Amino acid sequence: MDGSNEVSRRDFLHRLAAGSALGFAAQLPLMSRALAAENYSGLSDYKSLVCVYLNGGMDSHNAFVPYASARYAEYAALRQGLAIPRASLLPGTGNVIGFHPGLAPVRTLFNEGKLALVANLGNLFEPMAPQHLFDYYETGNSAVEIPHELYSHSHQTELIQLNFIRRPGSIAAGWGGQMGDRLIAANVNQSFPLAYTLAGSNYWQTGLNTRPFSVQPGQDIPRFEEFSSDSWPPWEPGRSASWGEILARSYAHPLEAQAASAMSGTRQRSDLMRAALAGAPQITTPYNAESWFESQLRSVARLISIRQQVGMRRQLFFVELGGWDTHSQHLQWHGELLVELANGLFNFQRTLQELAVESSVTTFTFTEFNRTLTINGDGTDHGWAGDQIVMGGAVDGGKVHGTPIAYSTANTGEHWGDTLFGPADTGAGRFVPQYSMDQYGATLAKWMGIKGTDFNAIFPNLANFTQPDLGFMKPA
Amino acid sequence: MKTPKSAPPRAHAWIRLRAVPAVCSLAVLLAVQSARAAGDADGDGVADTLDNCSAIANLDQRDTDGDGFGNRCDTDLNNDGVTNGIDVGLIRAAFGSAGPLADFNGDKVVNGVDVGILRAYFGKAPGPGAVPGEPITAQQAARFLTQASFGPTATEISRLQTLNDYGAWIDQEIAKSRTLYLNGSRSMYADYYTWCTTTVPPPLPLDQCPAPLADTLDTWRDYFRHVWWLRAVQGQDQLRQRMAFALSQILVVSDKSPNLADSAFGLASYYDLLGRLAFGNYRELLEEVALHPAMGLYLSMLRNQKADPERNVRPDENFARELLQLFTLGVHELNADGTLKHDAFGEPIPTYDQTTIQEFARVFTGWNFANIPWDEWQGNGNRTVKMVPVAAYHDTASKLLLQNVSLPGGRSAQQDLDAALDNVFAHPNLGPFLAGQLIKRFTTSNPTPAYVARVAAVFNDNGSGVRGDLGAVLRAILLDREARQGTAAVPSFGKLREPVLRMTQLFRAFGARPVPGGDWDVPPTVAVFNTPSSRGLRGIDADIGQNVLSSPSVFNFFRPDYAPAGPIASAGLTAPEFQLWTENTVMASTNLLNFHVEYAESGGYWTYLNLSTELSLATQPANLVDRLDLLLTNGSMSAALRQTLLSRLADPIYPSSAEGRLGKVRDAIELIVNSPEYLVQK
Repeated sequence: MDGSNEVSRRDFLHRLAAGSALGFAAQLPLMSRALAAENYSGLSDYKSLVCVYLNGGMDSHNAFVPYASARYAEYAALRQGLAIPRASLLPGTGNVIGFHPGLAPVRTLFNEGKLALVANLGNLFEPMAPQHLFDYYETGNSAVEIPHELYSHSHQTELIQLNFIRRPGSIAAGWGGQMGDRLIAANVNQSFPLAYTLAGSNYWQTGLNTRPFSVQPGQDIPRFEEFSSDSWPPWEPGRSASWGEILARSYAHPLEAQAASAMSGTRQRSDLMRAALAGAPQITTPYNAESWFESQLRSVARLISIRQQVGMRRQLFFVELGGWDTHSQHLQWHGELLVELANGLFNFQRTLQELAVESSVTTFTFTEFNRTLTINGDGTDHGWAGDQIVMGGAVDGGKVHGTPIAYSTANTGEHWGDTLFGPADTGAGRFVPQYSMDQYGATLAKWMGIKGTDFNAIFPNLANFTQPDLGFMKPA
Repeated sequence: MKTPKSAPPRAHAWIRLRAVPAVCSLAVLLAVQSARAAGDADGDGVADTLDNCSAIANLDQRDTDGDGFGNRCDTDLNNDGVTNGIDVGLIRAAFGSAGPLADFNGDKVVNGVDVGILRAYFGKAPGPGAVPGEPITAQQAARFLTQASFGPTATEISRLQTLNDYGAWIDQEIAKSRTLYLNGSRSMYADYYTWCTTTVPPPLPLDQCPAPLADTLDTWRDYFRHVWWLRAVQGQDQLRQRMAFALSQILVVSDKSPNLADSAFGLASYYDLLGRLAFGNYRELLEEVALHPAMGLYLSMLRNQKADPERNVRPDENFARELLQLFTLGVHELNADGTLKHDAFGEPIPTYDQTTIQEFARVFTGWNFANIPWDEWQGNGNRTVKMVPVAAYHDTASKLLLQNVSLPGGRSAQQDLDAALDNVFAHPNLGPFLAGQLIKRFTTSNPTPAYVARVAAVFNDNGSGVRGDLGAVLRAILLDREARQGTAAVPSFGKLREPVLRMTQLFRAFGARPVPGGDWDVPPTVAVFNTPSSRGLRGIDADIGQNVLSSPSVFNFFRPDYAPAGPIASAGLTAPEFQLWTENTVMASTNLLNFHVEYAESGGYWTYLNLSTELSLATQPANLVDRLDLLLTNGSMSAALRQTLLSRLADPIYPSSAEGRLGKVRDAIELIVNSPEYLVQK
């Protein structure tokens, strides 16, 4: 069964139980999730999305600090020993946000209007308050559908990519992959991969038909060395043909069938990719090849550089920077990662400028959760709502979009021994998000050209929010 | 203010098992109709998948002790895993009575017939697949060893056939002396130090030699990796090491953490712990893991401190969360067979919530390195010695644990730890959770619920009233009828071979030779395995996505419930190892394996495969393929693959020279180890 049906059915049951005003009719669009309802073959311009997954739960509290003195004081009082001193912050245009000192290149892009922040985002199925979560803890039920397994890395990571909860047997089609299922119609060459991962398997790029092609960062596309058509040793072509024969057979065992198709798919697609990349232009913008993250982005730029030769009009890329699970040594590790992130994003944006696609590529971050605003000594724990980066010439840059997370030193109550710091706090500074990943994704999808009823098909919870477009992309 | 969700009382093992015969009797009706289609080896009308003695007819399916093994094939009366002298004593005591336990044939009396049946099974493990009096074939032995070791070898296949008893093989493995990783890593380091500092003329300037070995000295992870690869390929205690490897993918620490990358000895010491308790008790293992500095550093339990409200400091939740989610219970309540429980909405039921995590986080406060004060730089901490409590940092208030168990205040860090681990250990999820995870590491990605239930039952009670006996659990996993029958019982049975196990099997099957001075950090007198990958064998993870104790996070290399999009996901199956199966790791693995087959030479710089036996068969293609089929695909090679190989070997393009013969051997191996039939271990 399709996962979205799971969500809507459960949603429906919960609403029924809660006597919600939203009835069954509102759920109907979610119940049938098929392939494109709209026609995308007419898209003739080039656009791509680059997803930067910040693996581990990136702390945005210390990355994008409130700069106005009254709000800074609240931050410092709550972050205590791990607060970034105000004097070392780098205020962005408008002096609303003070960037972490490691984010100087990001501040530069922000001030150039090429990068924006989107505040107060997280996994959310519908608008909710902390009390709904407390009800769920206490009774096992709640008036709203709550993202399950909150604060668990694996579950929240799946959720930001899928927007629904995967269950055994459900098809794990992510919102990127589902966009790919539709946007492939725009590509001149539909046999060439539309989605590329520089960081391994992921659900975000997996659609009903879309599968990411995996590329090793910083390397050319290799080949199966001993299964090539080289003429030495003389029996290599024969060996190679025999292997092809073995892979081409049909296999009854489902795992063998998967292994066979993965092997032969890899062989075909790699040959195509290698040939295409051989003609890629030289890129002169400098980057740090020692950084795995930067190597990934450089490989993305190379793939983008051959878009016309291979007939691409829409593409999706997935890169990753891990290590954000800063339960300890937070200041050091988080600070080092921010430097790597900022340099990587900056060099990448400059590379896109060199390739003259600065406004055709939009880069965005996501992470499974923000971190607690309170601390555990020298670290932080798993939180919820946080701020993300969107970057590119099409972004309405130099701004913070959305209402920032409202926190306050004024005690607004207590739950399970934790002081609640503001009306959205579920305890210890784990805030309920104002905006959902569905809204974030849908805003990006709209820029990519997704239209009509496909929004609700790809973003199963979008209908539960009043603002389907968060407004961080420039009007077309 | 919190009303903890009530959890059902822990079901006593026998209550659950009583239900098994009832299920079977219903199943008999269904099975009789579909027996032929489903496979019914003993012809008793009960399909092999359901039959509690599948190798010998028992239409009644009686199972008096409720262990899932029918009486007819369960002469192990005291449930210690083998039919032996103790059982002879027991049947003697029951002789002439009505049984019913020792009435194997169901004639309502324990008599000479039953003694005869017991004799037929003497020395064997009981269970549905137990075949009285029939020898274990080489193919069966190879298949068993694929599951139970780092790869079958011709020698080991013979040994198991000579024993003619899987249970006895396991007994011997358990009794073997244990590979020591910390000693091995330290001695390799010391050898390098000695070579570097005493060789004349000096191979390196003295200031570029390492520091002398000391208790608190630790070094870059590679000394542990060198030793691990040597022992996995050459070590005699294969079952123990294979179990340690499985446990290392559940109780995860990783050198990908900046805290452990420079900690070869900390990692080796942690791995020693997994090996030492590989057949021990899971409760003890949990405690040792919790208090090992490698884990302490990895999940920041080390120096976790009680709350300090003045500074908004709370205890660190890292270890508490992953202990519950990944090491013991999982996020959802499970039935005894590992399937999910559901609430009235059809939703899974959370095992715990955030408040539980916070309570456990408070339990795990106040632990430090054994050798230095709380505030001293952690680089001076000894990473090979168990952590010690420091009372000043421990939260002594009362705590509310799982299932509404309350811990009174005023207890020590050790007392709280003991009680909290007891609390987790007693939770009914633990057996099915761990059974499901371990089965996936050894035999199949898609065990039937009944298989999980049988293994979980052994976890819950090893037959002597002991909970958590890992040796008994492993025995149950390997001897289970589903494990032994494989695809004959469950068509989707099996698992994708993970990259590391593809390497170890190749190296073991062909007696790979390590290379003296084979890496920059070992002296010429020490031989290590190496590869031509861009970073050597100790660094292959960057290419093939895997190496020992090196997963990207505490979530291991792959999630147990991962299902690649397509037919596997649609069928509701899982295939965790496919999470690593991307275009670049697929190519890197194939290229790495093929390189060793194709280019490594005796006396050369790379790990060398000894192909002399295969070479002697190069002129007899059918015999060559037979041998490779046994070593690599457990004698299960399809006729189609076999035909492809024979056609290939008949190609006149190979000259009759030594080079041509070697070409044939290499081609056959490369085609097999990259074939779907091989890639999926069945």
